[in-house]
Amino acid sequence: MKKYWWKFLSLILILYSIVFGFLVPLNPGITSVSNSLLLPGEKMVIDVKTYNTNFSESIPLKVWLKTSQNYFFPVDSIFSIGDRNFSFFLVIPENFPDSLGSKFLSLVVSSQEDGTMVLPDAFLFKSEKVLFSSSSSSWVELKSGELFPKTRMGIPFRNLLLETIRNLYFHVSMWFSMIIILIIALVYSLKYLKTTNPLYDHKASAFTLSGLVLGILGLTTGALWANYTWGEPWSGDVKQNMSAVALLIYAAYFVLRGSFDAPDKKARVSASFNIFAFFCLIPLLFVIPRLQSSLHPGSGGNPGFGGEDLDNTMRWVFYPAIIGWVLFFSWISNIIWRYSRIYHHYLDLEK
Amino acid sequence: MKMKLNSLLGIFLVASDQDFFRSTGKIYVVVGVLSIIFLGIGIYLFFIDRKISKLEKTVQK
Repeated sequence: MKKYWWKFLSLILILYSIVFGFLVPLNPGITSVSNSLLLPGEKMVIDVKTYNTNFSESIPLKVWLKTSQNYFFPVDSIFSIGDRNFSFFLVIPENFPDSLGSKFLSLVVSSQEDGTMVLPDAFLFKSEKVLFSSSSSSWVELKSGELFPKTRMGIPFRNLLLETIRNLYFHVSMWFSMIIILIIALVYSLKYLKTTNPLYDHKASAFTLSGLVLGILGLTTGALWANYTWGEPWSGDVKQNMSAVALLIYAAYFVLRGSFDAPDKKARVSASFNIFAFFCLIPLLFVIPRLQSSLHPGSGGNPGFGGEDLDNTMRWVFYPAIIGWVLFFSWISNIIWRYSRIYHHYLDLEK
Repeated sequence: MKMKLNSLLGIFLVASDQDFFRSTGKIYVVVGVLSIIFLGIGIYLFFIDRKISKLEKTVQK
C-alpha cells in the first residue's frame, strides 16, 4: 500500500484542481458600454453592463472616465441601477487633459460591495481640435482611498476571456506536464545510452508516449479555446504552428522505433533520436514564439505569463494541477513500461 | 438521429441569447476542454488495454 501513495495523490490533486477551478468566482467586471464614441460638449446617456456584481440603489457606486495618464472625470448622475447594469448621464467635457497619451478613455466603476473594476479603452474621445489643458477643474487626479478595495476572493476578470480564464488550469497544465514528462523520458534515454539496460529503453518510450498524448490534448483543448476567444480553432499563430511541428517530431520517434527489428539497435537509435527531439522542442516552444508576435501571452520577449493573467489565487490551483497531471501520466507510463518488460521477457522465453 | 440532435441543440440555443458555448460567460468552453481531456485519457487507456489483450492472446497460444 505504501508505494501507491503518489497515485492517490495524483487523483486528489486533479480532483482538487477541477473542484476549485470551477468554484472560485470571477472578479466583478464590466462587459460592455452602449456607446463608445464621445463628442466634446455633447450630452448622452450610457448604459453599462457588468458581470458578477451586486449593485443596488442603496450601495454607494462611483463612476469615472480615466485617461491613460491617470486624469479622472467623475460622473455623478447615475440612475436605474440593477444587479448587473446601470446607466449614467454624461455631459462630455470640452477639454482633454492628456497631451501625450491616446484619446482613449477607460471606464472605472467602484462599488462598496464589489470593489473597483475597469473597462480599458471603453471610449474614444473624438474631436478635430482638442483643447489640451489640465488646469480645468473637471478632470481631477484621484487621492488614495477614493476607490473601494477588493471585497472577496476571485480570479482575474478579462474582457475577452471571461470564464474561460479557468482553462489555464486545464489547457496550460497539459503543456507544462508534457514538458516535465518529456524531461523524464530524456533522462531515461540518457541512462539507456550510458548503461544499455533495455529497461531504460522501455521507460523512455513509455514516458515519450505519455508526453505525446499530453501534447495532443494540449493542442486540441487549445483549438477549442481559441475558437471562442480568437475566432477560429487554428489561426496560424506561431506557438500553435511550432507546437504542432514539435509533436510531429515526437510522432516520428514512434515511426522510427517501428522500423527496427533488432531490439538493441532500435533502443540505441531511438534513444539518440529522443535527445535530438527534446532539443528541437525547446527552441520550438520557448524561443521562436517569443521572437515573433503571437496571440498567446508572453510573445515579444515578455515572460510566459503573470500580472493580470495569473494572480496568486490562480497559482493555488494551477501548480497543484500540474503536479497532479504529471503524477497521473507517470502512473499510466509505468503501466506501459511494465507491459513492455513482460512482453520482451516473454519474447526471450520463446527463443 | 441528426434531427433529434438539432432539436436538442435548439433547446440550448433558445435557452441562451447567444450560442450555447458563448452563454454564461463562456463557461461551457471550460467544460468542453475538460471533456476533451477525459475523452483523450479514455482513448489512451483503450489503446493500452488493446495491447495487453493482444499479449494475453499470444501467451495463451
